[in-house]
Amino acid sequence: MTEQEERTEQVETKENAGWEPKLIGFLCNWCSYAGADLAGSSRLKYPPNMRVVRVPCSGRVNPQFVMKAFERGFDGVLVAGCHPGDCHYSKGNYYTRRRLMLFKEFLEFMGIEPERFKFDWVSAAEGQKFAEVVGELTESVKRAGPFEGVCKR
Amino acid sequence: MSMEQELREKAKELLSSGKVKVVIGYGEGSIPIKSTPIFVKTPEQADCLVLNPTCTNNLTVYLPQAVKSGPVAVVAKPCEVKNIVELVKENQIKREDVTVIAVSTPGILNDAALAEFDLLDVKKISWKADGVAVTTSQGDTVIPRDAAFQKKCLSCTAAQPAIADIKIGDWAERAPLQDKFADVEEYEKLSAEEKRAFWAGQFSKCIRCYACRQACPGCYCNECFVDKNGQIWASKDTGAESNWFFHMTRMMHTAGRCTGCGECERACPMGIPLSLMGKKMSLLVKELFGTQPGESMEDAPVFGCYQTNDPDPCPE
Amino acid sequence: MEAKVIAKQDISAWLSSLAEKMEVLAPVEDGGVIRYRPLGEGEMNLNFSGPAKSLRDHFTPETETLFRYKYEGLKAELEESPAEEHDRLIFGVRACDAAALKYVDAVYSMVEPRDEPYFARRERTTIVGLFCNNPAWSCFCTEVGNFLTNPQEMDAGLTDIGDKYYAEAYTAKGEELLSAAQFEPAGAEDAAAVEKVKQKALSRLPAKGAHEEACLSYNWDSPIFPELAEKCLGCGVCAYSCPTCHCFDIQECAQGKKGSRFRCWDTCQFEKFTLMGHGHNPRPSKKERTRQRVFHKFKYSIERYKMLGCVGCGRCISACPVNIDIHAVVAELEKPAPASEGVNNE
Ligand code: SF4
Ligand code: SF4
Ligand code: SF4
Ligand code: SF4
Ligand code: SF4
Ligand code: FES
Repeated sequence: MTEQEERTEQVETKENAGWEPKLIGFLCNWCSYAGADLAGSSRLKYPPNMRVVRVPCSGRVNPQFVMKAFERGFDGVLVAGCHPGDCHYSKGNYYTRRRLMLFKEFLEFMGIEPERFKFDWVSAAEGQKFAEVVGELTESVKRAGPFEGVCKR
Repeated sequence: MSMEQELREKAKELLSSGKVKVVIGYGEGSIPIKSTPIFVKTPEQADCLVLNPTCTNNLTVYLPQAVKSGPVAVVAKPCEVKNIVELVKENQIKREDVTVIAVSTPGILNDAALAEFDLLDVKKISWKADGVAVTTSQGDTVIPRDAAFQKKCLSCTAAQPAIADIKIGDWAERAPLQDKFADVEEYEKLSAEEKRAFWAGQFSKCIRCYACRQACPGCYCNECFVDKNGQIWASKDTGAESNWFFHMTRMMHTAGRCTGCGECERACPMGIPLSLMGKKMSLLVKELFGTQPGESMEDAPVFGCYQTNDPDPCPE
Repeated sequence: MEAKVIAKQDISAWLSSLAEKMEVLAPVEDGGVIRYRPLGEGEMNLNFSGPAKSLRDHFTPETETLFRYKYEGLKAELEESPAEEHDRLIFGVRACDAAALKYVDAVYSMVEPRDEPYFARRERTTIVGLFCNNPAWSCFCTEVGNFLTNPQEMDAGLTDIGDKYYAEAYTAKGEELLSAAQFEPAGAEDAAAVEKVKQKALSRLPAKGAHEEACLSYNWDSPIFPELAEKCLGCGVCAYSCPTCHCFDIQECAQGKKGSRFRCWDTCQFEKFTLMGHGHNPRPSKKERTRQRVFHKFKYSIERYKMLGCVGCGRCISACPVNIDIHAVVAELEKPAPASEGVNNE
């Protein structure tokens, strides 16, 4: 099975010395993505481990995005959107909040450490907060260690 | 009058008055240890309806399809009435199209309870005051309740259903014989790594027959995400990870709808403990949003609504 | 060759010595279900009256990679999956499951080229059967080939006669197996014991004769199919537990610039099985789909391969969540009914 072999390969590469967590972040276009931009243009220092996926609203984030990331071997996942009340589409983040609050707990139930998944609000003005959030996630993922896959063999 | 007779009478009334076109209930199976879903369309056929400890299917799974040809009556146990509530709230069926025949039984037989019997020799299975009587050529053997019934029945309180048009059986609230969430608690003692190893073992058995999904009244989509060929979220390979993806998604989709009826787990030919996940979901839904699947007609579907004061990832 | 016996306590020594030469699979109990797994992966259980899974996945795995690819610009690399290269022995195979292999052989060799991955596995596998002493309620092998008295595709077959197994070889491979040190010649009392056990087993099975003749006149428009369609859930339990079902789908798994093409199980019970690209579905409802399974087993197979496509293992019967019982369906179809002109080709 290629999928399987690839996963094994990923895990093996991770076990080599010098492992750096591979993170993925789903950022709302209107706030968190702009927040990330601000962090960049203000030359704030934060770990470079995250690949960013820009989404139109945190409401776009299907829990399947997060599942897929873990299934494909990412070590940690961030979802960030506008603060409650500030969603560009007025309520997208309220819906996503319900989904993801439940999903986060469920992931933990299935054996995926809560350290690997972060869900937070970052506004366009919060460049500093963005840098912190990424820093915190990177740190907590480092503590949890290389992710061995959604099913441990 | 026995529950069975009462049910037949009610079914006859419903059919002869023209109130419903069909009564979905249980009929005799191909062998006395089984019953099978039947679709009763005339008052005469109502005498084929049975009610005994083998009546295990969750018949509400047929509703979305059945109501398309007219009003329907369905036999539903307390946990299954909750499935109807969810189907109505999620606009899959109209309340007025379904006559709910809510039946509170002493409990439904779990198949494992018959392990010691020669199934070819079982002639009849019936309720007795303290359990289930199995009639064979050797006479009757009574299996005590806690060995005879399915886990969900042992933890059932037969609480008043949110909707019911006809009620049959003993609806006095009863003390559960077992803690419904004992297995969830036991499982949660595992470490994260052990949990993943547990599911790796379970999901590597899954053959993707989709019986869990097909048997579930909450899985009513016309086209399941996993059947889509253009946009492949869950690969059709049966590696544990792909199976994990399928089940994780199914659980997220049934969150707030899963009533713990246990049909998915019962239908699974590979013995995968699917209801462990469903039960956890219902606990989480209760804890986070304060609702319980199928318990009231008022609560909105859990992911179809929000409150501004819902639990927050970073409360101020 | 003369029959042999082996003491029950010697079975594991015998299997372990075989395991030095090849992979040995046996029925093991794993989380409440019995399936054939490599020796040592769980507790061997020989008292089952039907393992949850047939041998199907050992010859046509649920997921079987056909080839992998990689590309960079216009340069593509293709790597075919290697053919099966190890010998193995499957122990404790039920007579019906062994007989099913004969049918699947016919399917996979019907057209040229025959299915090489399947035959590579097939030819490297030795089958040691274990006859049933206690057929399950759902078994009906007596109606579809009588495999307890007429074993098929086994190299050797064992019968439990108390504290030992009575063993017979049916092929040269089987004879060699039974020449192991743990076996000794059977005596007259062993032969008598086997006879008794067989009779008892047969008494638990239906006594009705074969189906072949009756099948050809099954009624295409039988009212039983709309009835089944009402309650059938359209899951794949019946087909996926069946030892003769063999339908597959071809899927691709692509990740960036590489991927693989694999085949995986599929079944006529799924709505999408016959759905065409342009939207037409020749088997649009469960009526057509339930009929397909029954007709394929009992009718088309006779027309096509001159044998029944059902070996009477009863798995689909006991596993169906809504108690659809193919044995009862067939009995219904064979009831003398007012003759009706059926159209009968798909
Ligand atoms: S997920 Fe399982 S237990 Fe929950 S409603 Fe569906 S079939 Fe019932
Ligand atoms: S019923 Fe069991 S084997 Fe079938 S798809 Fe569901 S979990 Fe997998
Ligand atoms: S006959 Fe039974 S096992 Fe087969 S598809 Fe229908 S419900 Fe599933
Ligand atoms: S159709 Fe049913 S009884 Fe016949 S071989 Fe297949 S699973 Fe066994
Ligand atoms: S019964 Fe259906 S799934 Fe089984 S072999 Fe025939 S067509 Fe394929
Ligand atoms: S627009 Fe940012 S969360 Fe909706």
